[in-house]
Amino acid sequence: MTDLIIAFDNEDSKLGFFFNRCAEIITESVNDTWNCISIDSRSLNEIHLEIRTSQFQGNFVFASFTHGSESSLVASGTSFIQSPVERNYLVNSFSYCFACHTGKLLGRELVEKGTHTFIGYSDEASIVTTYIDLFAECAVEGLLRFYSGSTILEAFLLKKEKYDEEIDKLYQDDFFVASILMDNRDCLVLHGNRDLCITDFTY
Amino acid sequence: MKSDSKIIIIDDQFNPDDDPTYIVLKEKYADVLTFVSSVEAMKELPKYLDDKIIILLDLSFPSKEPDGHKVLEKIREENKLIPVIIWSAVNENEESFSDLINNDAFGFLKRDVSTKEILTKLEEADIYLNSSVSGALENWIKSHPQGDQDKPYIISVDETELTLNDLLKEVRLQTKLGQSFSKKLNKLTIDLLLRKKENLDD
Repeated sequence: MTDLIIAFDNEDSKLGFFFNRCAEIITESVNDTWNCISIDSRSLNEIHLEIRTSQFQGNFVFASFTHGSESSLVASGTSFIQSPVERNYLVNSFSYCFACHTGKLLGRELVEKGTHTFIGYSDEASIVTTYIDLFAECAVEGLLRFYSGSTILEAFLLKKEKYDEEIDKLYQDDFFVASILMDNRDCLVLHGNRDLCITDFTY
Repeated sequence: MKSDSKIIIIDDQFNPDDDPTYIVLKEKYADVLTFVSSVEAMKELPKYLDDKIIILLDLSFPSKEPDGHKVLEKIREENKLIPVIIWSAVNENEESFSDLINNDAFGFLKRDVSTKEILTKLEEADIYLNSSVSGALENWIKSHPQGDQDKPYIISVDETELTLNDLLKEVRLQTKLGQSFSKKLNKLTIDLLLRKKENLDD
């Protein structure tokens, strides 16, 4: 069994529908060998995160689809993880985040304070509203690859390849959207242990 | 082959019935519009912003009307991409051109130049319109259905939201954001070349 938290700000007025779609794709893809805990906007706060993560005995996976900044993950306008991280609720986790800028500062700090690995974005990540599914598939690709048995590094590289594939399919018909995908691809970052795979998170 | 660009001549002394340049331009360009009043031109120009246009602009107008400097300034408040060619008899030793340069006049033609020289300059402007990245971006945005242009199109995860009309405005005004979109396209081109998805033409 693998413990997975999916945190998503589904009630966000601008991107709730996108964050929800990302969470949907993951829950539709994983089977019952994953103990999947969804935390949506109503419960996405520091206290709830602490309660949930404290229940895990060992390693777990944390996937978040929310807004962010260099120093925080934000839901419903409030930070639920923030630098400086005084108590890291994501210790022993593989943290996989779709939020702007978090890869620049927060991700590094989480790894320094005990998170095994952080994958996220170090700059602005955008979506194009007429291509929601496409952007959501790219956003979750790395996690699904990890779920399928790739190491974290392999999953990271395959996620970039997924962006490449979609860029290549799209650029002749819609170069602008292809350029947005490219920007998202180019600000992907990985911090921490890149050799872990799903068996390291299975009990 | 006829260009799909339109020529707009803003000149109080230009008479299409008398000037052979007009006939030649009509043969080479999609349309030629003339305004003898700078006031009327400034009023009507917004209707043509969605078209591919090149402007030939005189500097001198009757004293009650805005001169060419003001017309160019007004154009640039709305759109930094339209090529505006100054076509004037003014004495360059007396005229101040710094504002024309600062407002990105595309070129300067003396009133008495030949039709051939006018055509050459217009052709340069036409090539610029057809080959600039910003122009390509503008055309791409305009190709979307009108009804879609006010809907949110790009949303960044730091909550910036832009409609296609927002994008169009940023590109036309060549704001930092508008220029960043052009840079994205250049970057995409380089990326495709490096990954060998495209080749440079020989």
